[in-house]
Amino acid sequence: MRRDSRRAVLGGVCAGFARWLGIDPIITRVGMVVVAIGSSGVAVVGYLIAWALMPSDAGEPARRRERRGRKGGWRIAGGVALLVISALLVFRQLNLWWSDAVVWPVALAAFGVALLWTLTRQEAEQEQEASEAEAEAGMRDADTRAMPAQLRPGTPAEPGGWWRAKRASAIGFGVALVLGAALLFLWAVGALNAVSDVALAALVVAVAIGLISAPFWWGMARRLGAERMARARSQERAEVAAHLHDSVLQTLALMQKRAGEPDEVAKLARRQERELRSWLAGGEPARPSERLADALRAAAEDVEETHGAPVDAIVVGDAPLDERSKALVAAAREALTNAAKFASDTGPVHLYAEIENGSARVFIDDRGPGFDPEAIPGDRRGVRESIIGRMERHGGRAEIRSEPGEGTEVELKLEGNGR
Amino acid sequence: MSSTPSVVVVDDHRIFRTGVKAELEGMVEVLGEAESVEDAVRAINELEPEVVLLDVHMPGGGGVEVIEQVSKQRPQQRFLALSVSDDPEDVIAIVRAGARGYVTKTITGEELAAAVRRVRDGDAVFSPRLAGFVLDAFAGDLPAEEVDPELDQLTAREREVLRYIARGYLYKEIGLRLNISVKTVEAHVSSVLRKLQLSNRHELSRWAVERRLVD
Amino acid sequence: MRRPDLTQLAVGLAIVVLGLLLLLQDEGSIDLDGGWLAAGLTACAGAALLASGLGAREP
Repeated sequence: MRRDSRRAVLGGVCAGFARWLGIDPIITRVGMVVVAIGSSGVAVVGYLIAWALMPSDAGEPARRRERRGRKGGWRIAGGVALLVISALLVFRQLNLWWSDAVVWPVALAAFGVALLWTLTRQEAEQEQEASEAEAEAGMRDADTRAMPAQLRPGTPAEPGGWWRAKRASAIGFGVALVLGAALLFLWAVGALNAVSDVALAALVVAVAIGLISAPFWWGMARRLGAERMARARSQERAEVAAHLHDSVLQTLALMQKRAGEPDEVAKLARRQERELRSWLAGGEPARPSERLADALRAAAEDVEETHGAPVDAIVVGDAPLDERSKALVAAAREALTNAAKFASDTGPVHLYAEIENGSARVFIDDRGPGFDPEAIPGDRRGVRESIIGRMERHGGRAEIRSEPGEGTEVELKLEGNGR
Repeated sequence: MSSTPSVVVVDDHRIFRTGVKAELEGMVEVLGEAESVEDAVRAINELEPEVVLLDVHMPGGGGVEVIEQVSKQRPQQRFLALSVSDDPEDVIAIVRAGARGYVTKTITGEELAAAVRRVRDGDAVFSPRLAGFVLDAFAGDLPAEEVDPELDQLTAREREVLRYIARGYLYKEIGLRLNISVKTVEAHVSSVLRKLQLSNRHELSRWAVERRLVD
Repeated sequence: MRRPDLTQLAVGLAIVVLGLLLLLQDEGSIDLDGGWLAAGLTACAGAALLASGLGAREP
């Protein structure tokens, strides 16, 4: 027997004891409280001793909620109740007693309440297990929802009439216990004789009703909470479904229609992949007109779209977009376009950018045919000038390295303002 | 070249596993496959492959769970993460859990085989994107007291190597550029992997905490 | 020997203990007043019920 550290209210003594017995901890807790009251608090010493003596179960793996055998459970609870009463009688003999008028009604009421709570808890447990199983199964298989409720996995079998009668009588017994406790108290206090003590009588009855109905209110509140969560879940599912419907299904349909054009299909797939990734990542939307990193990535995407060549963009760091960095982005876009035009079938074009403290370095690499920087064909020279020239005009630098057969590297540098 | 490396492929998408097996045909020996965390642990312990190709996202805890369970019985097992996801949290999490490399599913068959061989030989493999994440995570300065120069900073050379990887260079090309041998490049990459796994830098710890890796 | 039935064992023990107490009281060796007797009775009954419940749940 160990202290149950997970279900503990104070030290887990009652919970541990209950687990050893195989009953709901509320029974042992109620018993403890009753004995504590009856003995005017002396029994608390016993609790503390038990706390010290019982080892904790902190290191052990959590045990699955043990199924309480219906057969022995009530007898064990009854046995515990009788033992509690005998303990009370012992304290009474030892004169560590509060008073008959208080302790007996309290004990009676406590047992009634414990009975009602255990009944509600059993019901709640079954419901929760059913809804959890349903949530798991239902999420994956829409067909199960079409099945009649009785056949769905996880739903408890329709409780038989015999079981329901037993439950009803247990509830009745619990109610009777609490009401009986109330009456007993009133009789002991002599309130039943004095008609003027109606107020006290009414108060006691009200408390009794409150105690009786408390578990049911608690059950209702929990059910409302569960319903709200279920609704939120289904709402989220609907959103995901809508998004997938709008984007991914469309793309897949388009891809099937263009199945004979592998380049087009690859392009569609890449575009959809990128869009879905950014949707999944959530977070803030990109601001290509305000942030340098977003602008560079947007340029890479545009070039990929227009020329159908895959572009891998990796950006480390970020900075706000200003005049100079806008020029940087434009130069990068040109370099990317060149790479995509002349080197599209030799692997992806790589864009790698490092941005920090206002300075930026951007590398655009491709594995295309490359060229001899000295012998530049006419139209490319103009383009080269526009890249290098543009960078220099804005206080940056550009270097283009290439060799025939070795691909091309463009490096764009922008020094920080050193603000 | 040394012998053909042996792998077990772990991924919950059958089509993908079939594709990987086909692509690795002739270059890598596929001993077996698995599609769940339990199956994977069992298969790996039985078949004892040199490298495990491991997907990040799987029901039951994902690649991280496979690494954690297998490491109890086979601490020497090497893992190469292969994933669709390029979310830095996923990537860093599985590397911190013990994977020796990370490549994305768009990789070609030859590159994948080369990566497997590298991991088998004890080196690390970084995809360009992972290299970018690492540079990002190790960027910036730390207050002097918190720095463990061994683990929390990259050397200039390591940064250079990572930059070339992020730009898509092969190790051979990096060696040519920096005038060092491929072995040296591999050593630098392995050193970066070690730092990635052990460093207490804020970003890495934050990502690890979010994945509940820190105990 | 068959595995002893815990319930019967517990109830039997309880009856024996009660009997002992009553015997001793009759003899005059000990003096139990009503309160102690009640406590003893309920304790025995409770223990017996508990044991029977535990016994019924042997897997």
